[in-house]
Amino acid sequence: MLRIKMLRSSLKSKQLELLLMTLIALCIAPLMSKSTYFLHVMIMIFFFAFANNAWNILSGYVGLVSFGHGAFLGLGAYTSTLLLLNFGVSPWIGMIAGVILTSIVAAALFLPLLKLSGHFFALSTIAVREIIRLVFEYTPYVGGAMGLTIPIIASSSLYYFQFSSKIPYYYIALTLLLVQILILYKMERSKVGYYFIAIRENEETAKALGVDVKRYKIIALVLSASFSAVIGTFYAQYFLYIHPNSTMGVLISVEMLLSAVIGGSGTLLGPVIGAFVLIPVETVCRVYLGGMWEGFHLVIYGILLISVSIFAPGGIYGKASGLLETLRSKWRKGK
Amino acid sequence: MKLLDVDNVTKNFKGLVAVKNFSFELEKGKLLGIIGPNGAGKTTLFNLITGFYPVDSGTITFKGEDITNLKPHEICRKGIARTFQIPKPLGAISVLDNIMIGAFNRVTSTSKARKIAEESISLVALSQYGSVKANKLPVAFQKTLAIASSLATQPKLLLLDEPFAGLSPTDTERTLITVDNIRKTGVTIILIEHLMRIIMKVADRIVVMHHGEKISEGKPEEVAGDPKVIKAYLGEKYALRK
Repeated sequence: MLRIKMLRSSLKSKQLELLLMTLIALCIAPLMSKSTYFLHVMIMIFFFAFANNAWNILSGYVGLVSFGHGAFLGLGAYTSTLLLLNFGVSPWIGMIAGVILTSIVAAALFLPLLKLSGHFFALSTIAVREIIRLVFEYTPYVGGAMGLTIPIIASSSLYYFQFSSKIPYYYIALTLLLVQILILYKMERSKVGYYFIAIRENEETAKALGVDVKRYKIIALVLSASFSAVIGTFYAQYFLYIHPNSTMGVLISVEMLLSAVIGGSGTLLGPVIGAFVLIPVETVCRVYLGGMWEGFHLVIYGILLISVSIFAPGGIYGKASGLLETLRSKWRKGK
Repeated sequence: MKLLDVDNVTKNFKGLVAVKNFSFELEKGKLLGIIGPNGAGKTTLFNLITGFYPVDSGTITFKGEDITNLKPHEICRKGIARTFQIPKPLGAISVLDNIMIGAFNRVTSTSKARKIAEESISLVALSQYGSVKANKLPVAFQKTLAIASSLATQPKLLLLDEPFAGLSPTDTERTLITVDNIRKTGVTIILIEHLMRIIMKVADRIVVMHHGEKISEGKPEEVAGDPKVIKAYLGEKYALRK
């Protein structure tokens, strides 16, 4: 018994060590490599990890699979950008405004959908997202189909969230991701997290055990939409150009769930692992095969998605932790 | 003291009367058995009491408070918990986590919830399966798990929907002990059951349902001797045996 306990604590401390080392490596990586290409890939990994984590709250934990998260990301991007362009408001304040506005829109437009289940919910999210996208595309005030370009106001300014180098973006994205993971870690171990999973596993049982299903679905929706809005502002400030299709379209909405599904939806680290696997594949394909084989990364995505669905329905994280568990129990038996 | 008062409750499903002008009272600390042939409306009655279906007419009073047509989670909060005829565990998570979700009905802190869950799990003698995923459990244990989860919500009244149905003799014996242990903690129980042998043994009083109506009520031996009951329910069964 004692031995098992010691083994467990040593495993825990090893995990902690690994975590700390990864963190340190991530923090000093930009100092080691001056390559902007490397930094861009890393920023994209953090970006998609964050966006997929946001999707994961509603769709992974609560089990309401959404193809409409682009709408939330886009609303966040548009809110901060419009505030910046029209009133010179700092994108950081715009980010908060985006969170508030997106929460309200999410609650108003997506609330009726929460009653639907399974693929009906998934389909309806596509419809609502498309409506929002079309509204933006046909409204000249918000740039219409041309989108909005953020002019370079300052060469490097934290206030205006603009930098000439990629390094500040790297640290901002990393910080955002770490803060988000910390919040999700707390969530997963709290009443809210337990209730989310209960709703996903069986709504009737959840109700019978005292879960206010409707209320917790709204909480998940608002949390999920808020995080999407936050990363939307980051998107706008990083690319300095947004248009309805890139921020609210089908592609971004699917990319907001792909890493989570491949990495392991409904888990804390699944979406992050997924992003670390997928994004390098995408950029490598784009860089080396971009000319002739445009979109080749989508083929690889497809193959990965099919393999994961067949061989690891719980995602990479689920498969890996399952393997680790069997290894551990075998090792214990061997002792 | 009257704990539950179901007064003149009716429920229609598009013309089919599932529960009709149904009334009964329940004293605190007692075990009430509800029996009746298939389709008599027993489970519907549970769904009405726990707010899963709205009632068409009539009132349900719990601890002197009108709880008619409250939402299921509100009723759970008031202190009525239930299990389902076919267990619906939260499959992907562990047995203890399942029970913790029930425990969160009363507490917000995870450590407190875990403590309550551990008490419930030991009361139903399922502790050794605590870390097993709920969908890996045999159905008999899933039924026990459902009882433990609903117990963790810390109810005053527990509604058990056929907890013995389909169980092996060993599991039946085990569940009988569990029900007995729960009674000892002072929880009032309503039990739907088909098996006469068991209901005669555990119930203080029995209500007999037939076509949504109450046809008999009383002590087990009184009910068993009631000609109406024999005709509606026992008669057919006994006739088949002979």
